[in-house]
Amino acid sequence: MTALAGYLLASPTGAAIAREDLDTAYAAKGAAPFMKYEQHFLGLRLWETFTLRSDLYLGEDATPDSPGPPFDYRLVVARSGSKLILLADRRKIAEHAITRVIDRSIFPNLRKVHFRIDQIIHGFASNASDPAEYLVSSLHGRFAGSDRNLRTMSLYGNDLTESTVYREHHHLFNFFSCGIGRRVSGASSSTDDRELLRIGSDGSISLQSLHNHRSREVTKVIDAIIRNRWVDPWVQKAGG
Amino acid sequence: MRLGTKQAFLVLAGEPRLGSSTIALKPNLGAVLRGWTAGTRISPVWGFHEFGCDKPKTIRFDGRNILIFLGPVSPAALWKGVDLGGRPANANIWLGVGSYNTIIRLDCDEAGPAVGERILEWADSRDVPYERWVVQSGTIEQVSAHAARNEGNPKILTDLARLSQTTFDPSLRLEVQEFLTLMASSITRSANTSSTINDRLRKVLGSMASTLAGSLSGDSKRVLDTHAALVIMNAALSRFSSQAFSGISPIASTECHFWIHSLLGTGAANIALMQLTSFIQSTLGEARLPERVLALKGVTSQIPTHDELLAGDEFLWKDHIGGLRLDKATDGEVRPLITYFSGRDGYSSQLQTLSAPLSCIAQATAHRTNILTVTHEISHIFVEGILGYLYPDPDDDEAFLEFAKLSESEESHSNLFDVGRRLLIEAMLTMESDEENRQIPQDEISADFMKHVAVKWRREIKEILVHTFDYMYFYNDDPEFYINSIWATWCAIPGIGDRIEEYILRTVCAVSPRLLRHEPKSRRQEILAIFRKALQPLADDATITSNYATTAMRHLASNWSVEGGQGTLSSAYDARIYLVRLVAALFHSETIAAKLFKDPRVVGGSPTGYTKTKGVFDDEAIENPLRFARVHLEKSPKESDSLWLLHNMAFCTTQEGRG
Repeated sequence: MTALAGYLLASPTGAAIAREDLDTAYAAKGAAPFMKYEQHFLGLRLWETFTLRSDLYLGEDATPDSPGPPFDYRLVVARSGSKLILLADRRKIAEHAITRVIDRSIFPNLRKVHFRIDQIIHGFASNASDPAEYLVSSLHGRFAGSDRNLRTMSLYGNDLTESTVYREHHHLFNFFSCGIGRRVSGASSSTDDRELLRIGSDGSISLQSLHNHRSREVTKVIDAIIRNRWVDPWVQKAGG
Repeated sequence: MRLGTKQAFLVLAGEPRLGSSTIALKPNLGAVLRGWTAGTRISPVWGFHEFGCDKPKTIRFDGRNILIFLGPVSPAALWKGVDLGGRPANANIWLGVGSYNTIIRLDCDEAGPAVGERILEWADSRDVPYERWVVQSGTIEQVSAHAARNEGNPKILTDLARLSQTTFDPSLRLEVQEFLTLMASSITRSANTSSTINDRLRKVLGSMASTLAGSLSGDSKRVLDTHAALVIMNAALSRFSSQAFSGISPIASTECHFWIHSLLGTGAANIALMQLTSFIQSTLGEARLPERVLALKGVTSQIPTHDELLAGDEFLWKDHIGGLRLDKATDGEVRPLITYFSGRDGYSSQLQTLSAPLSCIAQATAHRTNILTVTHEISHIFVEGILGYLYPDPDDDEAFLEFAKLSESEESHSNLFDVGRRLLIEAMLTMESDEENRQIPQDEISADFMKHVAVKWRREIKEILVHTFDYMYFYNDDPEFYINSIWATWCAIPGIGDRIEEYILRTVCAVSPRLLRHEPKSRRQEILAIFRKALQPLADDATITSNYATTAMRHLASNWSVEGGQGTLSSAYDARIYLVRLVAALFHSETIAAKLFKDPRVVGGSPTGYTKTKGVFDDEAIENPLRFARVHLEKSPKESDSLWLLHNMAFCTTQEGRG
């Protein structure tokens, strides 16, 4: 499966999100936009696919290659209690599903769960007291210091928190996204192979691919982040 | 939801009793003034596009309507939290500046009351205060209200009662009485309104109680200081209370003395100002800058030589205070401030009070007259704290003896604290020498002489240190922005034309840190160009009332010499450059300064670093109101943008405001 992008969402009240909350096709009586449940994704219990039907063309090309409106878009969703990973082929499709469908059917609205990138980077550093299972493979940050000649910094590598550049300058940056990979001792695989997902301070998630094994890894990373409270304080820890 | 850019006015007319008061919406101030009566009160409001009221028009509230005044709360929290029935055509939502910042109108048809019930249920569950009116053909027929349920008032009131029974010095009696009653009123009102304000008031009370307790020692100086603190605090608290708590329930009976906001007050703007000052105070407060400077006494290695100290470069750009480890026992907590708006005081700060100009409410995002100028006032607090250690007390003869000895030495000093003092001494002596137009021989520099120059130059030295500190910590090395902001503030103050030279010197010193690398002549040349470039647009602006910028440009043209030389303005600048060196080397830390602009909510792919769009209201949190305000300034702002900024600062930095 190709690259996917979207968001981690959660209910501010901790209310469980049911499939019926997302499947608005019946209530919409055929009037777009709505979401329709299709099937479990790759036979996995947590993962499901939906179709988003909208009158808006959200493709990359200037003109759609399929007839419409309406247009159909695929959504890949993982639900667990009050939390939801919502992915699509492009982030703007996920955004559209949230603002035009989900925000109009679930009250209080689900909120994007902001990742505390600083804390995640720190938590996944190899020198942390509890050796981390994951490592940081890419970093993007805005400069917070007073030199107007510098705006942003991007770093790519195998274990960035070990690098001198990161260690000496990290306190001067607002990091807004990072790539997370699995820490494999002695492995010689490239960063691209190891990187599981990228996450952003705005709650965004992006993946290069999603297959059976990778989908389990992704939910494990997100679970670890939530368990360690590297997210908004209002997010329920577990079960909710 | 997008806010309209044009304001309308909500107009209450009549007496504050049911059945005799009317409410209407007018599209402009002229329409309000034509119908003004003795009992008229108004507030500007802006309507949301999605609720069909972004274009101002007259609304007489014909038929039967429900009006709900809700707040203080992020308006987005409302529509994110409540199913408003697909944004019905029979509902309007406006935004104002008061504590009740969200105003909702619903038709009393079949859908309206149900939506109203859902809104009130949501407000009850989140403890958001509201007042609900039933309005028949513009006349208010029913009023009901819900107040927040902050707890703990009985204990506070008992504390106040206990203080009232304490025997303070007789000269304090009236001020203490006024303070206790003002505090009782403010705390009980805030308990029904906003936990943010309530928390702040409790801290202020705790701090003032300590000040009062200190006066019991019988020391006449402490009694005098306490008296002064009470007078200042009472004036600030009175204004704050009148601004923040006007327009709270019962709305019809609480009047704000800013007449343009006389109906609903300015509570939301007061909370924004409070959040901004709290953030800065807590960030720099946690850094404990004065204690760090004091801890330089323990830094005895890598001490610059005398020449390096006065003219070297490398010493300046090391972060000498950022990495210091402090004794945990040292109390670094900064005194909580009462912040308020004032048309008369403008930007002003005293020990525990801080005011910003009233114009900030409408122009918070204006590049020139924005709310961030408040950083100058906060800088005073920190520089005063540092000078408390560094600058000798006028009564401390020993310290002046030490200063006189330090002035003699051309050897390296034993620690970096003494290095700081030496820079201070160098500044005092060169300023005196420049004014006297003569070299001061070493044998003239006695303890008495040092005392004379220290007392004489203290005010100006402090101002230059404050300006440089403000520039280095808050302006991200942007001289044009700084000069524009600070001179626009001065241009708003009448009758200070005779102080132009002093203001020029403060300004050129403040923006000089990066020029410390230059040779004196090149520095004089460069600073002249920077100053002229930044000030010219202000000098050309015909809309400015007291245009001191033009006077400053003229003064500079005839008194600044790139070559330097006695008696010129540039030689006065040279004399003060040691103060810039002092701030750059020992007051400023790049690590600590970066904390002021850190925000874990910053995102990629947006010019500002935030996902928010000006004029559009969402409930996305921000954690740094200073950074948020800084990146949203603009040259030609709209008043609605100011409202948007203040709301985000007030409500998106706290869970309380986000419902």
